[in-house]
Amino acid sequence: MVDVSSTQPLSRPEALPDRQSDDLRDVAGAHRPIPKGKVLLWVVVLLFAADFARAVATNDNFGWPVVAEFFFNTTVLEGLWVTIWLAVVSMILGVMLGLPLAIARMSNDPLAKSISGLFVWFFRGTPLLVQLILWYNLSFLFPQISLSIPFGPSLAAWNANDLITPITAAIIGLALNEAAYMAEIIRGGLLSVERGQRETAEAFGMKPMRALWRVVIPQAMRSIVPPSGNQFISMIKATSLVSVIAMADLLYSVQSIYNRNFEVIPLLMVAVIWYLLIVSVLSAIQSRIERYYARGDQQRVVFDAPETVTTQEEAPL
Amino acid sequence: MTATTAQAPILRARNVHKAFGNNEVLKGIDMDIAPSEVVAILGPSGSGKSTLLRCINRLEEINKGFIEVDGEQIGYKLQGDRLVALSSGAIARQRSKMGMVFQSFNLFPHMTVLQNVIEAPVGVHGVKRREAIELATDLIAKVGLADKLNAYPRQLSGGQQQRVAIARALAVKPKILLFDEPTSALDPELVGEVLETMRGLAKQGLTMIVVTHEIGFAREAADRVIFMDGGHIVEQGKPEDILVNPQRERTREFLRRVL
Repeated sequence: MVDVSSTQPLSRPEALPDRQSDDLRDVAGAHRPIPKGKVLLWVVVLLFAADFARAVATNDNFGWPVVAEFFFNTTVLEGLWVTIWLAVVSMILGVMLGLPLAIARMSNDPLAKSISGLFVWFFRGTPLLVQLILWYNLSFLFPQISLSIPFGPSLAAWNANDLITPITAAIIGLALNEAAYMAEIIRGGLLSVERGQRETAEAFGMKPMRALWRVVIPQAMRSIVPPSGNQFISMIKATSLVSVIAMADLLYSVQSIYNRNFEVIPLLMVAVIWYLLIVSVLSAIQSRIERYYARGDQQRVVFDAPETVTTQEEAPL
Repeated sequence: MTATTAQAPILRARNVHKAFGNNEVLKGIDMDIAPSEVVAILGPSGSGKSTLLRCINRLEEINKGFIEVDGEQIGYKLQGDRLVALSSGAIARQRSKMGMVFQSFNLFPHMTVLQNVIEAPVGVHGVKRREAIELATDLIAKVGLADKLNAYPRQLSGGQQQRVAIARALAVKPKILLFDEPTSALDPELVGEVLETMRGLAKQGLTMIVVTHEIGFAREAADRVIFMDGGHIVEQGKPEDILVNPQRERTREFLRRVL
């Protein structure tokens, strides 16, 4: 029998010689049993998922052959293209307008502040669908649209009916609505940057706009990008609303097809799959952009190497 | 009393007042700084010393009096006998003559060490990128961080960040270097490296105004010590006089507490 020393009260008398049992205690070689409950949960969930997948795949009402037939249909692809460019153009315009709105809202100038506030209040406060229909029917409000000096002579005039087509109504409606939301997202981002950063930039002689562009906005992007990605994804889906003003987007295109062949569900499935595909691509792009703007924050990944820790003590000058 | 020198002062402050709402922080500051002079401003917190520094490069606007740097009044311009407020662009140009080092370093976190240092020379002073990089590399090496050119600020210790901030301030070839409590946010063991860097600069003949709590630095490196309390300059003079044999009771009391 092995002598049990008082310093190792936990080793049992039958244990192997001490050094070997210490090796066995090395946690690097530990065995980790899988919890039974977790295994059970996995099995149950996967069973349900497989059953659901089978139900979807074998349910003839989904009409998968019809889905396949129309997936690359010219009308569908044209609608898809309209959806994508409409979303992209509206988003770009929205950001371009949202940025100055955000800056105006944060400025000390009461005029800029209240104009921006009023804009956001109106375009965030009314449903997008209502805004789209209003823009589309603008000619009822202002039959004649003219460029003029306030209270003065008119410089140029257009007939509202010529100016407002489904395309212009859709772009104006989506972009202005988007600008209101983007203004708030950008304002939140700008507020998240420490005050000292802007102050430092100005202390070094940067003009306010340069300080904003070089120092504040790049840091604000970290908190602007995630909600903007979110916003762009809702924009992709919001474009489906333009089908009410006869703009041939993805939804409108599949509707026009199923109105003829009555394959409602399969064609909606075509739209659903396309929307999901676009959104998946967008999410991937978004995470790349997020990684780019997180570049100053990567200490754990890049610089935790031991040699950089020791250099802290080096003599300056 | 100012340092006795024949040269015109590089900074003149006359009867400077500053209030935040009803809280009067500076109550009539007169100060001349000679070129190449190193001035340490000491005083209890709330004495107005940091505010004075921030007024010099107009991070704060003064309410009364004037400040002149290198012969130009900060924030205003005399046109005939009318004093006119300057545009933000003109103020930016005035600020570009000064370098500032902040208590909390304020490096730009999204830029590498090198990018931090070349930002103002390239973007504000119009220095060619290649030349700016050359100068910056040199300055960064001088503060002992040659191996950290491409590191981001968050990958550096506080002392290293502050040394980069000093290199950044030097890169604009400032007429005056302003230090706002440069070691107050540092762990005690990192204070030494930053003070060492600053002592080196003082020896090179740069004009420096240092708001600090480091009595040792004031004694060794400063040409003049200014003691402030309650928005006034209480007394000033050579460090050996002020720190060893202060005339005013308030100065004595302050030194008793910090030494």
